[in-house]
Amino acid sequence: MDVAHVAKLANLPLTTDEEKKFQPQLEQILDYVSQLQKIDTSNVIPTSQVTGKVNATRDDQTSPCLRLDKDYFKVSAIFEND
Amino acid sequence: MTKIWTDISSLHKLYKTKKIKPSEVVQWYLDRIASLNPRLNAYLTVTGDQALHRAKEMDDSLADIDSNPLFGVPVAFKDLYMTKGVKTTAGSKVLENHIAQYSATAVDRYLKAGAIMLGKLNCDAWAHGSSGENSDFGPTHNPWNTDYVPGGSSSGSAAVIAADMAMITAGTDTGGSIRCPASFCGVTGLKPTYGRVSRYGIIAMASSLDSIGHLTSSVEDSARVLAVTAGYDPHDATSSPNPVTGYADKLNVKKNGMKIGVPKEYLRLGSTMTAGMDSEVEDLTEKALQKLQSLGHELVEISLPHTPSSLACYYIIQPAEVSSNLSRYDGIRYGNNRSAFGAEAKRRIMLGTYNLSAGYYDAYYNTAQKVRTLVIDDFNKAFSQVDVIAAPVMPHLPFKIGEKVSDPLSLYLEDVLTVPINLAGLPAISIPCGFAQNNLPVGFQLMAPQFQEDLLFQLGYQYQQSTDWHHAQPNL
Repeated sequence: MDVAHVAKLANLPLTTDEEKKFQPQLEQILDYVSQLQKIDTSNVIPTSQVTGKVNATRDDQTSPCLRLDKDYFKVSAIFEND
Repeated sequence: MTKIWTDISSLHKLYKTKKIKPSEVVQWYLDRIASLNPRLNAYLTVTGDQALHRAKEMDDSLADIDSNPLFGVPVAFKDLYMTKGVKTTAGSKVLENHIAQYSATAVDRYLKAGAIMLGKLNCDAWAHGSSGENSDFGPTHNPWNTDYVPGGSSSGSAAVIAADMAMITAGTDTGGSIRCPASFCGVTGLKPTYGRVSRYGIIAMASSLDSIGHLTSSVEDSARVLAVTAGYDPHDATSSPNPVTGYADKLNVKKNGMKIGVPKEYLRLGSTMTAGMDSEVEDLTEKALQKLQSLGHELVEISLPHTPSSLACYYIIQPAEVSSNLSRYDGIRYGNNRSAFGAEAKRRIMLGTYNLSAGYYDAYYNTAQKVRTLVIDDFNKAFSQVDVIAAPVMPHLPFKIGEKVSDPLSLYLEDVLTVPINLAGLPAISIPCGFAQNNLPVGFQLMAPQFQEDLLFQLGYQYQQSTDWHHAQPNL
């Protein structure tokens, strides 16, 4: 694993000491989890979630809108008038 | 004031007969927290003033007790639970001063049912850990022997029940984070079916694995709590519309002749999976199984053939989902920036990022999702032969604080018995079944098909009616 590259992808600022420390630890873990590649999963459908639910949606519901002033929406002031 | 209540039922009887008031109970717990927390480091935040204020309001509203199943019951929440207006840190320096802007649905449900919040509990940062040592605020200590870990990641939650610093604690279980500390601290910990309890407002670890549960000193109390927290929540699209039954009401109707599956891969762990299993864990689990048999149930040997792969499968899927969930912590809108992440969080973010990156996604993440299907199939086959499955929770006894910190992989291997049901989305409960050397508790777990928590409560209740382990208390 190119730890510096992965850290960049993950936006994790690492010191060179940290990179040195993490490299063997991550390699060891990856080595362990790679055992899955020995299993025959050629005819298996992947599972991404276990709820059995499909398309949890609801109908659109309207609720009161922001106040209108001609073509503009009126909202609370963000900046104070000093 | 001496403690004259035991569980929720006895507390409510005392409230109703005006032998005690909510404010007195809360004061008792606050005094106990003040006395014990310096040694145990279980609470990160104590909301003493709010708790007393609320309790005093409740002193005058005893009429509400019948419609509020957790009336005047002190509760504390793992610091992953958002609690409006109260500091919520996830055990991490990234959020060390973060005040929650809203409360989790589960928190609202506890409070609406009358529970009184005492504070927020220490945990491994972001729920990354099985010992409590990954908290950025120091580890919680095991109340049974303070040199030892309480387990994790709901470390504070388990220690607080064991040390009687609240009556209910809320936790989360993604790969064993309720069951592990429950076992290490000798308390009852429930991991409900995935989707049974809303995840809304609870800082996410791995979104397809996180289960929202709780710890108590008895199965009966656990059942009462689930009736309050369970149920569909429109804010959580993965929450289940499955109806919620009154779990505690059914406990007294004794079910006989249940078939209890004992997975042959779990009880005799070879060195290929972990460094074996402590003989005391094996012995105490066997004794628990024999007790269940003596209560009129049948033990059936079953096989869960993909058990050895479950851990690898979990340690691909979970870090992948973690890396995604933790990407929001950019230190721009709230919290500190990403350099404040601890070592374990950084490791998991990097593992996950790598496993999801172009060129590796297929070999790792996609493959793991397929193995997940195989793990689920194992359980489906098993549950066609048996009603519940029984097993140890952790392969080894609690270890000394600091003993295992230098080797992350060796800690991951301790999760081998807990992660499979998280992959399958099944419910499980950890129940104390004895003590090993050095006063260290051991628990065993029962697992059931989805949404059949009632079987866990039924069997667990029977076990606790004829054993005393759950009544034991540490000398503090």
